[in-house]
Amino acid sequence: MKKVFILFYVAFLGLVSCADDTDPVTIDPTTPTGTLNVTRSGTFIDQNGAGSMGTAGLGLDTEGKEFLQFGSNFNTALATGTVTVYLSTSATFMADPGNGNPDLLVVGPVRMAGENFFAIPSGVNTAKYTHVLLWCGSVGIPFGNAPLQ
Amino acid sequence: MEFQRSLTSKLKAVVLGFMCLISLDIAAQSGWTKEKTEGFYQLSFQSLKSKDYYSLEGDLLKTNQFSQQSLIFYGEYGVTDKFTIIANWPLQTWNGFETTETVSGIGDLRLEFKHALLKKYFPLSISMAPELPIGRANHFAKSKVSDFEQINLPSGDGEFNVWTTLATSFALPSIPFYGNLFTSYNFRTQYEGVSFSDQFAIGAEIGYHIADIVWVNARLNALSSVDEVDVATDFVRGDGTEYTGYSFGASMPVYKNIHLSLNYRNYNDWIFERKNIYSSGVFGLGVYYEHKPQKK
Repeated sequence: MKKVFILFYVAFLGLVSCADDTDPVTIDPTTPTGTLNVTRSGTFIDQNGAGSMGTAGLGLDTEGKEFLQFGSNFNTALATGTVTVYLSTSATFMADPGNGNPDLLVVGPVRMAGENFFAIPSGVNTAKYTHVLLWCGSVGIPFGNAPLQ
Repeated sequence: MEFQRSLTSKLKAVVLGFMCLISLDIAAQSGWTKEKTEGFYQLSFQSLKSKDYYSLEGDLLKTNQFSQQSLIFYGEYGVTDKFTIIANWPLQTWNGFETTETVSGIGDLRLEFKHALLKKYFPLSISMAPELPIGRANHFAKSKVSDFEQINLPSGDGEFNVWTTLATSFALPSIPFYGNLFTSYNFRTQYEGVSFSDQFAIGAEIGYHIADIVWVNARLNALSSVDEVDVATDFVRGDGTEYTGYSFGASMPVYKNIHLSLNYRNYNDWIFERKNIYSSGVFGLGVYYEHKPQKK
């Protein structure tokens, strides 16, 4: 009886999987949908010989989701270790973890040269942030910053 | 030959690149070679902790504290009276920041082939020292404060390079005092498509034997890049590193041919300004054994 049940179940799965489904639409949440309308942007100023260069811009995609974009000319010292991207209220990295780092918003690590996109978490107001920082957290030094205008 | 004891009792000081041990050490070299079958074998431990990093522009930055400890084998063996083979090998190096875990690995092996051009009145030697990249060229230490951050703290630089050194020495006949002068050129190659600037070094050393027991020495050496390195192609492999280093050392016998050595090393800007280097005092402790051939 148990074997009959298993056979019936496998046959049922086979019928279901062979159904003529349409291909699912994959949405990549890390890249903008449609066109990114950049509202504020700036050029990276190199710090500590990291070779940081290129542009950074904040904007909304066609669905109203906010992204930070690095241009195709972006570069920094990536071979050493993790470089973390922050939005900051100044050109200086001012950590205050005891109070929830009110002057910083961690955006994420940057892992490659060239164009990069970073999704801004929904519900975050980025208006107060004036700079993009490239921060080598293990060492505790900046690799560059871009004023947003 | 007595003076050679102190010459070879040196603890191999380690130059730091941005954040790792790169075998760029340029401890003083001498114009003397070993006698045939004469040997010198040393095991040393050295330690550095520093928050003072000098950037490629020479600016001093305060960083998270970097620490490095190394266990190093150093040996010399006289193949003939005019030809000495030298090995310098960090057996284990521990690297870490206060914000990261500590990672360790073996370092690059430097084999030096030293030939005496002149031996008696004006000791003069030339040596070629290929550095074999057998050390761990990439070793990532994970951050202790952020779960997605890590940093590369390799124990080897990953590239093949060759040091060429010309050295001369003198010893005073009436008092146990000696001196060395040397100049070196480091031909560097590349690692994974990243080429490094060649380097050159100069150095001097003096030593004195106190009460026929304790050898003391003082050294000054300096390292510079041949090419100006404005942008770090690769911080951690010592590209663009420059400095002036000074050290003081002492050694004394503890049992038969076994000696204890102490060394303190630090850096300044006297000859070449510090660039791409962690600068701090380096403390070293070593034990060495000397084998002297039987006199016929």
